[in-house]
Amino acid sequence: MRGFLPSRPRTHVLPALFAGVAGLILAQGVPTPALGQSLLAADGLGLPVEPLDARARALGSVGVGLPGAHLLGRDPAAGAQAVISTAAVTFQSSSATLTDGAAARHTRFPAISASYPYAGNVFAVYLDSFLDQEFEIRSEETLLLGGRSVGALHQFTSTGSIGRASLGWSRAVREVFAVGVTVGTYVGVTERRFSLLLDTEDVGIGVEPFETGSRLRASGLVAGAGASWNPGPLVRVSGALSWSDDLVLSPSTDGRSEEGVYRIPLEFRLGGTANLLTGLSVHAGLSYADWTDAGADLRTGESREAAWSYGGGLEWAGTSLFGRALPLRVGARHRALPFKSAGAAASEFVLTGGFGLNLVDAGDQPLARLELGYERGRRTAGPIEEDVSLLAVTVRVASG
Amino acid sequence: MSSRVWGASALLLLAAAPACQDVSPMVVSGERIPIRAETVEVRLPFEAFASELRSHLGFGSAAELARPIVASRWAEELDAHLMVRFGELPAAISVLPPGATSGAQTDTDFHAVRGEVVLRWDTTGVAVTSSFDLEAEAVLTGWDPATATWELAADTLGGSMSWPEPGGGPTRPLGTFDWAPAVTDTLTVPLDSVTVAEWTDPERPERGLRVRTTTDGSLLNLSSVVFRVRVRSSVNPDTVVVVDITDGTSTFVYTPEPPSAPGAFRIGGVPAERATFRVGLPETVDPGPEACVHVECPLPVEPDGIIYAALVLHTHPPPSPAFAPRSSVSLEMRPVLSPARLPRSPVALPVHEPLEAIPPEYFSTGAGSVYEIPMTSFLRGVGAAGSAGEDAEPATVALLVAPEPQGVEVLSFYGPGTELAPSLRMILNVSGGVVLP
Repeated sequence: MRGFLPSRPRTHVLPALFAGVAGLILAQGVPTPALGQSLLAADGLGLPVEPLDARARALGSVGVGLPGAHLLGRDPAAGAQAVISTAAVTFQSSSATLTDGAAARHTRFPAISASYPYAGNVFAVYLDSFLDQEFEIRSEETLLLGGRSVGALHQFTSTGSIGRASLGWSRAVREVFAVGVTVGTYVGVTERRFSLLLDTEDVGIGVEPFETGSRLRASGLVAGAGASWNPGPLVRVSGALSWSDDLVLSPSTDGRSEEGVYRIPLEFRLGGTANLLTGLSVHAGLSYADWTDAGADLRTGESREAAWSYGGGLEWAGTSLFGRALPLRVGARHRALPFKSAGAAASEFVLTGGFGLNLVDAGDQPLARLELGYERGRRTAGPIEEDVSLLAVTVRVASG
Repeated sequence: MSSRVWGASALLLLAAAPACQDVSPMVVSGERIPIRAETVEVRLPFEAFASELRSHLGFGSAAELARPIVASRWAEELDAHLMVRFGELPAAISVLPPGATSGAQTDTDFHAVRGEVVLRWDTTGVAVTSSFDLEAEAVLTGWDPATATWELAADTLGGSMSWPEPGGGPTRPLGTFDWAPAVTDTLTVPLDSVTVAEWTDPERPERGLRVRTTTDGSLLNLSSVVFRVRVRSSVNPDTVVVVDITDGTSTFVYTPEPPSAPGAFRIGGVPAERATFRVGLPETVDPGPEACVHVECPLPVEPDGIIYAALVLHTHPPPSPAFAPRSSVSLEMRPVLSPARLPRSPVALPVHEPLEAIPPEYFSTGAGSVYEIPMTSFLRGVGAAGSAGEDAEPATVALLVAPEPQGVEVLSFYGPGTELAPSLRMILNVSGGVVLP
């Protein structure tokens, strides 16, 4: 199989663009948590979490059309280039500065994948995030009880997220063309708890909190299909679609039998990468889904209809560190979030950057790589504005 | 795989580990809470949640009180006599031989020559300008300090025995004294050798001191009492050794018994009285027309929906001023562990945290005041047991003073059937559960 990236051009040219991105990342500090957390997680089914690895994030990708051998759950054909067994895990820390200045942060493993090639086929397993439902709502109110004013603290907490577990198959049909499919199921449990606490100053000692809640277990089939095509030695184009049966949320603790059933839309993704000159490539992609039906299934809230996301970036592969290739990346991505917040459409725009460290390669096959991707931007939904940042680290190892 | 690869991976993950402290985004808006919850307050009459209110007398005795009393016509009614039985002399004393300055010898053959009783009174609450006539007497009838009352010298399992004269008589006078708190807080009663010999003889069941006052309208609290015996040593007959006997039992007998007040129930006194009643949780309650606009009526009572529950009592004037509380008193509500064995059933720990003591004016000028005893967790448990259909005895609780007994004072509260009858104040939260997304 022909390697997509040219083999380590040692130009040692450091464009100011990449240097700036690297500086920004270092200024943030590696342990600083960065994304995903948002007040918008309280709307609809939650905040969609893109199951991207650090490289895709750094390039502003929507998850398809990236070059080289890699594994991404939304790009079923991507694994076809792996001729040796590969495992990758992405560690992602995110933070958001909310409208009122408060901060939220989370750390997750949003994407874990592994592949095993056999007789020209590549079999893979993916475990990745789909919807984040971590949020907390507090409300301090004054109740009139028995003719007296009583302070009350209402608190609602939602924890957990919905993910997808899939098995994948991919194969290079021709040297320049590969196909792949995935099939799997929703996984994960979210816990939603409500508590009410009255002010003992107003009522007296002996006040007990009122608590109720439920655990919702996610289920439903998911499937995906995709293809990638290298029309020339310097270009790759990929397309993928994700299909989902109804997402079913089943209460498991409060004795209720009512299930939440939500229609999840078919999602289309298209992306590609082209080499502009030696060591420099450009990547772009877009995705589309119509969330109208899902919005109709919501008990509260509403969704937008068409949700478009697009993004892209540049990768400079001409740098090295201690003799190891050190590709640098910058990009930007816009994402239309499916669920409205208080009737206002929500969206996200981030500037991205990052780098990789190709620790060990065997030809065009990566044996050990560390990737780092960083995003910084803003989410908006009517009066809500959040400054968000995200740091993703991917560790990828392969063994023949 | 190069070990450097794994090393680098581990270092990178470790570097990011401090970021693993999650903080969820917080929305400050009650409108966005996906749950419909209503909070209402209801008040249930006693009959709606309780039954079988009963009084039980006989917990503790006056001998357990740290500060026994002496009274004469207190509040024109109460008479109380102090009764003291002293401990025994030590079996041996240490005495220096004649002319020696060291090398004390043990003497077991000493004998009492005279003695005195030193009584220290609590002068707080006593007018400094007042004075009291006190009489000290030796008891002549066998008596039991733990069970003696105004009428009975002993009331034990072996039988009861009355005083020949109610109140601890007859007696042998030891002296009369005019005690003025402005001068001293101590009263010393001299004793001759005969009395000392009687009181230090453990074989004499009548041994003991009675102190009473003849100053009408007075009530005194004893702080401490010491029996000081002077003994002559056989080792050195010229030496008189002072032996203080501080152990013993102080008690008091009083008359009359606190009367009953119609429509009220009592707690406290000595021996103490408790009130017990059975507690049940109704299946539904009526929260009132205003609340019914927001919640289903009648409103089902779910144990988990009880945010607050308290027994509401209204203080009642004491049956007699003589038994009115003179200081703040604490109440407790405790589950009765074996209702079938009442009144002798053990009780569990209080169902609430320590409560504020009830000030004495609640029973005088402030009679009719509200006093709440929280019982939220307990009532949740009662409701949960009922919901589970557990085949258990009905929950029964006891109201008692803490510590018990506390004094002759009794606490009176309006009882069921009266205008200010006990009631149950409950704050309930009604929720249909968390709404699906």
